[in-house]
Amino acid sequence: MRSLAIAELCRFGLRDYRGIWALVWRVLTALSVLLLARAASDAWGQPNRVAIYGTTLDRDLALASIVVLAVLLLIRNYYGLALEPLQRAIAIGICFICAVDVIGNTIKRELYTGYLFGWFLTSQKSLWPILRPQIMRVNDFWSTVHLVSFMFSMGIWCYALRKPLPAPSESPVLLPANVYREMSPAINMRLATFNDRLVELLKP
Amino acid sequence: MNDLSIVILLALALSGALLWLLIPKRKASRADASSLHSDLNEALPTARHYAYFRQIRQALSAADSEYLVHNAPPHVAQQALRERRAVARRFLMGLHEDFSNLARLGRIIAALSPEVSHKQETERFILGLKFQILYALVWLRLSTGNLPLEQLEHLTGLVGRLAMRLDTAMTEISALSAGRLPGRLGA
Repeated sequence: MRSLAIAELCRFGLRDYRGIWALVWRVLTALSVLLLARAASDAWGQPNRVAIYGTTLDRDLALASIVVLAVLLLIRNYYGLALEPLQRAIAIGICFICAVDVIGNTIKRELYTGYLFGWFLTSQKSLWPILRPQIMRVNDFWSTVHLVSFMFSMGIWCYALRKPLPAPSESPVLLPANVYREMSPAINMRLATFNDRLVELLKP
Repeated sequence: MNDLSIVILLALALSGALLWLLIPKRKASRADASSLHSDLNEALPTARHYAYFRQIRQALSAADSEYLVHNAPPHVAQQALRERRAVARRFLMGLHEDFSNLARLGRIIAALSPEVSHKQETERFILGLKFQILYALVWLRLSTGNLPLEQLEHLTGLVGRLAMRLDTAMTEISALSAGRLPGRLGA
């Protein structure tokens, strides 16, 4: 669901700007694939225990969500296409949940692979009665933190949705394609010349 | 620093950056919106600082410096040279603004174009980064007195030509985009 929400945030408002959308979706898709692959490989490297594997994957996916959102916002800011208040609130909510997930899952994973690792080993069966309450406490605490963060984000979203949604704005009318074809290289050439002069200034 | 600290710090830094990006920058947003609602020429003054080119060239001329060094008392000459450097720095800041406006024009055209070239966009992005680094270096050298002021003349000459070409381009785009601009770019 979170991934779908992020995908919709990426699509929202940008798809009308066909030129940059064609560029942006490729960049974001490539980035997402890269981050997912990294999450999978990171989780793959963990000890063969479902809990540790799941926690690592959760953490990396949350981190990937934050990175994708950050890149999306950087691109939007770069092109001067700010998010609307509702979408901004949704992004803030997702960002908050993801940040809490990353921090919480990292701490949990450290405990699972360190102090509580005996819980996952049949050779340490004798320790299980001692470790059980601690495992339960960790899980309960993490569930509470996760729930509170989710409620907080839900609060942000509800606040943003307190008013009826505005009517969808009209799609922008784009410039003829030849304007970009003619102007963009000219502008880049000028910018490059400007840089060349700065380099000349710096020569001893 | 262990894995735990690194990941937590990374998450906090990324979230902080994300929230910073999400904070609406009123001034910037208004500028973007107005740039497309009203006349492009008004919203994107591409060479505002070039208007002072002649005065700046006079103030930075080598002849003036020499005259000061030979005829004014040393402390007066020093003071005058310091002030001239301060003027040069402010002018450099102005040129930075002109460069930024030109780059922004490029981005707006890209945003409003039905197709863009990834090569052009990447190139502009890299040029922008390169400019920021070079600008910082020139600024540093100017501040430390390692850059002869006369060299700025070449730069201002370039901006002058840029201004003329850009004004023509802006007029063409204004004509092309009259009545076709989007309602809420940057809103």
